[in-house]
Amino acid sequence: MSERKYVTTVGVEVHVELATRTKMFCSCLNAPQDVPPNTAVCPVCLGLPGSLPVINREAVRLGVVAALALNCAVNDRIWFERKNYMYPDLVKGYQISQIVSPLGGNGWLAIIGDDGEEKRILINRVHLEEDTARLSHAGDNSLIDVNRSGAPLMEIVTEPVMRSGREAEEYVRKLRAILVYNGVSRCRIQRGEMRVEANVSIAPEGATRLGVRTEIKNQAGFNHMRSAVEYEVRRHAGVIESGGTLHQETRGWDDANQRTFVQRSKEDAHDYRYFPEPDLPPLKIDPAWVKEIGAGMATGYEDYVRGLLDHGLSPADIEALSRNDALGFLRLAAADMPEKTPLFAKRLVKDVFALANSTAMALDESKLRPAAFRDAALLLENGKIAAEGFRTLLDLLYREGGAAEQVARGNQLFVETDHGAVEEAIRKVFAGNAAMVAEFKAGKTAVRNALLGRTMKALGKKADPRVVSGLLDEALKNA
Amino acid sequence: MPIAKESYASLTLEETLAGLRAGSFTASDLVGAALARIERFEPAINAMVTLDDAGAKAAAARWSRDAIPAGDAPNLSGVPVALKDNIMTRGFRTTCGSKILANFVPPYDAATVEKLRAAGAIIVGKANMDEFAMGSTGENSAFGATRNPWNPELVTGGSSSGSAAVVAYGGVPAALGTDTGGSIRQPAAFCGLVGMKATYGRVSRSGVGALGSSLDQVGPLTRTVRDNALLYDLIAGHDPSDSTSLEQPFTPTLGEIEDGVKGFRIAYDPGLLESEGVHRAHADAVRAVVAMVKDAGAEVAEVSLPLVKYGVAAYYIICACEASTNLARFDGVRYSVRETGADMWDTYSKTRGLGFGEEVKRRIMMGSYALSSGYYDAYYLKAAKVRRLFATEYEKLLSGVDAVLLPVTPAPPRPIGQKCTPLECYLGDVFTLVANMAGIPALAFPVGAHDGLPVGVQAMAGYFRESALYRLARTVEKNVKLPDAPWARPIPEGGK
Amino acid sequence: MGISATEALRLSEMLRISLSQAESERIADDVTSIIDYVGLLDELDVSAVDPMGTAILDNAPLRDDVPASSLDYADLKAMGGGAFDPELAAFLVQGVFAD
Repeated sequence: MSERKYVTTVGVEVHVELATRTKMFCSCLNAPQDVPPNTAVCPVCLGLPGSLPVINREAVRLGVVAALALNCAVNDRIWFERKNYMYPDLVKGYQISQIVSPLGGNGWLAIIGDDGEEKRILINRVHLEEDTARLSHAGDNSLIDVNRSGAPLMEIVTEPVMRSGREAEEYVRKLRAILVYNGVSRCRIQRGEMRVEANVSIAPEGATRLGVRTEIKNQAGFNHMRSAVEYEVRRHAGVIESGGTLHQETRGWDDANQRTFVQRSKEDAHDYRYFPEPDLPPLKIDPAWVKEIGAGMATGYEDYVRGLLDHGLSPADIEALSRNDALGFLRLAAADMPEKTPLFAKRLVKDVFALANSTAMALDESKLRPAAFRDAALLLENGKIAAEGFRTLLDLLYREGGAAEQVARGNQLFVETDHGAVEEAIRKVFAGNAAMVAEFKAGKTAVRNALLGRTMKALGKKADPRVVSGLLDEALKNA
Repeated sequence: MPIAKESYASLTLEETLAGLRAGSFTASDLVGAALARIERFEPAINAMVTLDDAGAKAAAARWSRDAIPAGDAPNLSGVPVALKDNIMTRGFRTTCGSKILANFVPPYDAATVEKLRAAGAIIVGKANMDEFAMGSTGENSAFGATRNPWNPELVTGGSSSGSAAVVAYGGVPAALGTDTGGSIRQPAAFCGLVGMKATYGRVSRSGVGALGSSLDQVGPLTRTVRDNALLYDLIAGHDPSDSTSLEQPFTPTLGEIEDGVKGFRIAYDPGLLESEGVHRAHADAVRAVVAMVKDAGAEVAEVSLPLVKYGVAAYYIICACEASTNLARFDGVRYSVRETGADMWDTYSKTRGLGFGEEVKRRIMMGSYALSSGYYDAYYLKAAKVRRLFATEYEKLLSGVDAVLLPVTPAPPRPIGQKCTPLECYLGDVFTLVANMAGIPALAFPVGAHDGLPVGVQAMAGYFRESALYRLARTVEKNVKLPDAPWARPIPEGGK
Repeated sequence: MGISATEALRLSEMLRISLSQAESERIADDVTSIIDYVGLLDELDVSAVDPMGTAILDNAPLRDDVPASSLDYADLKAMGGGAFDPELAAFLVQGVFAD
């Protein structure tokens, strides 16, 4: 069986949760997993009778940012529809979504194609909708957590233009980097903030029509998606070559057994009965607002990466930043001081990623916010804290969060700038180690480092080695 | 002459306020009298689903004479009112007239309820209604039919059946209802009351169990035009929690209500009054109003309303489509009545199958069919286009006249229990649904009586012109007497 | 045009409404007669007309992204129905394991 005589066609649909403070249509916190279950809920996201949706401006703004970052045209008049189906995680029995007038469309995103050349993946549409509640299972029962219900969700749909699982994976990785970089979404896969579905078909080379398509749902990771697409390509070829019939259906990925399985056949397909949401008038997207959003956006992702090279970052560092999804973090940290980008990059690669390893918690799972990281790095840079204090501060910010200055103060990490206190510490060390001081005076200068160490220890993390060192030498001279 | 204590509750809203301010009686006297009257009329009428005796008495006790704001600024301090049972009340059962919500206690107040509470109103309870506001007789309630206080053998009209009946028998001076295709105006007319369906978006829908979201409006039912305007002024205005709420500045209507109709242009369609199925008394009532407004200095224009006959077809599609999805949330998961089945899906189906009445199921089926793949263009989309024709035609017509007069219904109220096909029932809304389709305000008001029953007329105006409707109705009211109205009757003898 | 009792049953399954045979026959007849009546709209030429969804307003308001207070477990419990279990901090339903 050979795949060579077939052309593979893959289209990808991605859902991402937008990084807003509140939900799409109500003012409950959009932090489904950061608060106890069913505490970020109100009549609107519970779907109680009489509750009405009001659109979150920030969700629309982030949607426009995404559309612009993906080179899409933004429609100047959009509306929402009701997508009707019943499921216990869908509190109203319909999802407010968009079908006829998406927020944006006709865009593209460039990847390196299978032939090694740059390839534009065409984006069909970008639209806004709301998330469902979360279902979990306990014994014979299911539990519903409504925190996620109504969370702002964006769907990004490509044209069927990818030719392999590799291209699909490349597209999704790049998409994720761009969305994170632009602050549209945190895209944490393990939290379900980014969910991927791929449509796969194969057709004989030269055929004018696409083959029968299967849809692979909710992939847990990019490599899973790639494996699933590659498996489907082989399965389709096998079915065709053995004279069988392919069915349009939805399949899931069984990672343990490295195969897909049928989830739903076309006959079971829902009739969603879309119609315009009567609780929301159409929404005008003022082109002037779009322009303003565009002007406020960060440099394009590609340009930013090129700029990092110009800043003197090594390709290896850039690769590390990209692998750790830290480019967006870096951009936000350096937003007000782009000239400090290399400094922040160095601290990220050297110190923050070390923390990610030692705590087994990725940067985007940590409590460290870009502003706090920036302030901590500047405290070190300006000599307000010492290297040891910086590492302690970073560790605290990473695990517990907070503002840098406040945490540094609370943990007494600021260096002792009061020379009197350092001198006092030196006097005490000298008094307790008179023999060593005598040895030094006798010419055994090697004991100087031991005395330095004891003074540093006495001062704790407040000690700035440069200051202590200077004062110690002064004191030894006069001793 | 002192007012008999048991008659306090049958005073108008304005008289009630004046009495409270003057210290003629206290809020506790008033609530006591209201509850007593309600208790005596309820066995025969069934206007109320749930009474809040304790809550109302406790609220009344807080309104001492000193607590009632002086002056004549409109407010409702110490005044008992009733709410249709699809208007959410925090911590107090709200059923929408349905078995499926028989134990539902909302954790929030509707925006209109917040306004009433802020104005000092005392909510005595929740009024009966056709299930989820689907019906025009008051018979489609899971809590039994409401009977007409003018003649208990007849229907009250619907769907705001209980709100109309409790005001008509003098239980409270005012109530709120909701109107999707005539559900305030039609029972108002059948019960001799004034009922307002305001411009769509004038009164917040937040916290109102939806039937047809693009058609629904909350509005007042009262015994006088001034009372109606007073209550309307208190509940109207912009609400940021309802995205369809209008931001246009709102001018209270009560201040202009005595300004008359001199210089108004008022239109009616004489041909329509002759058409088949329009009861002579209802056509005559319109003609009588035409004569009254002419006498009062208005100019009268004869117009033709050719779209009216298409209204029922388009309206029922739109309303059923919206209702079919509005009611999808009642799934047996978060609400009270749950019929446990073999599995989750069986539970859903049983809960909905047993929890919804037949008219509700029929409309859900109808609406889902009209939205389903392959039928959407022929039904929903077509109806939505016809709706645009209505809006355009009436906007044009009403830019040249101050009001258009129509009967409220073609026919008088039917006897309780008399069967009619769904379509025959729907045709009763032919004149009222016009205003909901176009989004314009419309007011029903009594014009006289025929065979011992009140007869009303309806006036429609352009967007935001509620004030013109009140001026017109107030002018007519001065010429109208309703003999032997139930609110003026003594409390019936006997107990429960 | 119209629908049969069988189609009515299929529709009721999608809508998760159990109907007796008698009910589905009655409702099929009613829906059919309403659909027939709606044919009246064919007299109107609406080919060039824009559909009207919500009445009047043509621009939805936007809300600031500022959190407001949410309901608490006591509110959810008090809604009635007993589906909310404060111990489990969840709405409890029969198991749903597959579509």
